[in-house]
Amino acid sequence: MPYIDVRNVRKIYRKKKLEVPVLDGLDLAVERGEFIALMGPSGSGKTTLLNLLGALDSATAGTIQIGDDQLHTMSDRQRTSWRSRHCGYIFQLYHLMPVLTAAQNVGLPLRLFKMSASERHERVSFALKVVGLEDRADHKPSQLSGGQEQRVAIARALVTDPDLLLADEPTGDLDADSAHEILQLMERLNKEFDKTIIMVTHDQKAAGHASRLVRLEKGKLMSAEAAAAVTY
Amino acid sequence: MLTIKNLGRNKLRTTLTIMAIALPLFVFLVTSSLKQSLNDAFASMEKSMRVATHQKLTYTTLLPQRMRGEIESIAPEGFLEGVCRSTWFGGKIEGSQQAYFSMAVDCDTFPVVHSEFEMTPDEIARFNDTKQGAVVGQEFAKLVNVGIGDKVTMKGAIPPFVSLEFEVVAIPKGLEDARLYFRLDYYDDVYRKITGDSMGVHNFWMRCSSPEARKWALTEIDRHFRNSQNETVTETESNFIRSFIESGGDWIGMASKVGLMVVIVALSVGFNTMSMSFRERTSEIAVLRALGFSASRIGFMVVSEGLLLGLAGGIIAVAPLYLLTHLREVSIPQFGKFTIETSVAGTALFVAVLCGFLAALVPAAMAVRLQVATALRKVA
Repeated sequence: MPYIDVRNVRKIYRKKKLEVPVLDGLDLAVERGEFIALMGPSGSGKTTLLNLLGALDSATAGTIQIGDDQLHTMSDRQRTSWRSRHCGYIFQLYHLMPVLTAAQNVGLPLRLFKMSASERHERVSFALKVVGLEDRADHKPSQLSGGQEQRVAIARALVTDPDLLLADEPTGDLDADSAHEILQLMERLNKEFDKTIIMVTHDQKAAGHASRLVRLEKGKLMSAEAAAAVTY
Repeated sequence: MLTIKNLGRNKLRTTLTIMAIALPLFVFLVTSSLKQSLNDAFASMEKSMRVATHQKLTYTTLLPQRMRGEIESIAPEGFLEGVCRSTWFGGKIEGSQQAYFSMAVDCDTFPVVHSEFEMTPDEIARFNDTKQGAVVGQEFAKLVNVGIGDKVTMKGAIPPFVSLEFEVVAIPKGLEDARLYFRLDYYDDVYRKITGDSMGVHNFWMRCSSPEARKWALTEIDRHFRNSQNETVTETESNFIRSFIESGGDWIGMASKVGLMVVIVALSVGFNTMSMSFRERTSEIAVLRALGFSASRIGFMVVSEGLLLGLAGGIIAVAPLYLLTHLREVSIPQFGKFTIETSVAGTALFVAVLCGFLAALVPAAMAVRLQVATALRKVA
């Protein structure tokens, strides 16, 4: 049984009387510890699939099982709780809270768990150390570069020790050097920390860091191939 | 933590929102307390044995001085302890625009009719012996910086706008506020010199010896002057002051209504500001939801912001005045103590918190109903 098992998933957005099908009977299987690059043209359903895997949205039809949990049967409240325990989200625009320091941003998801201040501090320090920003703990996002902000966002996704990391174009807003650093970091998280990663990207170079490439087109899976095969 | 940090994000906007709640609440608090203090003062005056007679049509029409003798002559023996004529002067100190409560009165009956001022026999004697003598309140003495024996010159606020020089002869216990009483015969002398006529008086204040005597005064004086050139109205002290205030319009009632309207406006301003603040943070709220924060937790966070803003506004509106009126005595001239009752302060504080809560309700509902995926798509 794969870690992520998506079967015949359909997602239709309804806008008044207009129905917009985004995913159309999609099947996908991902093994634990895989690093998947999700590619495809705009409107192909990449982000929608990512949202469904991250329990941010529910499918119109089909089943999604991650580990032992069946996301398609969960209520909004159950999905929220599942998200906080099993999934870390990395956004293209980092989305850090501007009023909080790097350490406070990283510690934000831990507020959902009962733990002592020392344990929280320990976890935050570890996450910042993993992303190489332990000396920037007291800096606010406005005092950090784009690459550093994204690393703080990765530390925030990592701090609850989730099995699954979902990244929506994590390098889309960064220069080449910073993007390379972030992708190396994600590879490290995948290999050293055994995180299953699903990354949406338009960038072939970024996709080259993944272990497998999944292409979507018009809401359907077009191909799944080893990422190394498409690396230029 | 995030709630407090969010409030500090735009300090100017937070301050203005707090002030938008605090200022109308302050007006509301003052007018409510003023109304309460006046009602308390009227209630305490109800039992007063003092009555006032004035011209039937208006409070400002003058009556002849000789009417004092007529009133004294028709009163049954022992009914009236004293009849004191009084005329408004409204004097200003030279070089100042501040008009003080100042009245010309009969020096012989003033201490009897206004026995609450507790003039000593020496003070009474000095007032009777000094034509330019003036009895002043403690606040007046403080503001004008005068003591016993000092001279003070004031210019009348009503025709013929004469300047009169007074000598302070008494600063009695019980007369705390900024008032000045001086001798009617002194004013009359000056008035005669200028106009050639004897001046009129605005009121006759009388102290009755018993409830029966008061009942007599309230009916028989007006009956005596009925169909004369100087018809009168005689009222109890509380009715006189209440009618006098109401003759200028129900300004306290109006101020209360204005205060209430401004509270509603403040609520709208608070609602608008919080809605704006929420819209600006839609992406952050979506991210919090993505991190696993529940809808109810985020709704609570938004409501907490509203409650904190309301509480801050309430404390700013209530605390200074509440502390001021409880740490030292604040009085309204002629009415007595002005205080902010704990219950009124509590109500104002509750209204402030309620304003913050209500203003936060819709933004909180918007936050709770936010579709995370849709919100993230919009900001991505």
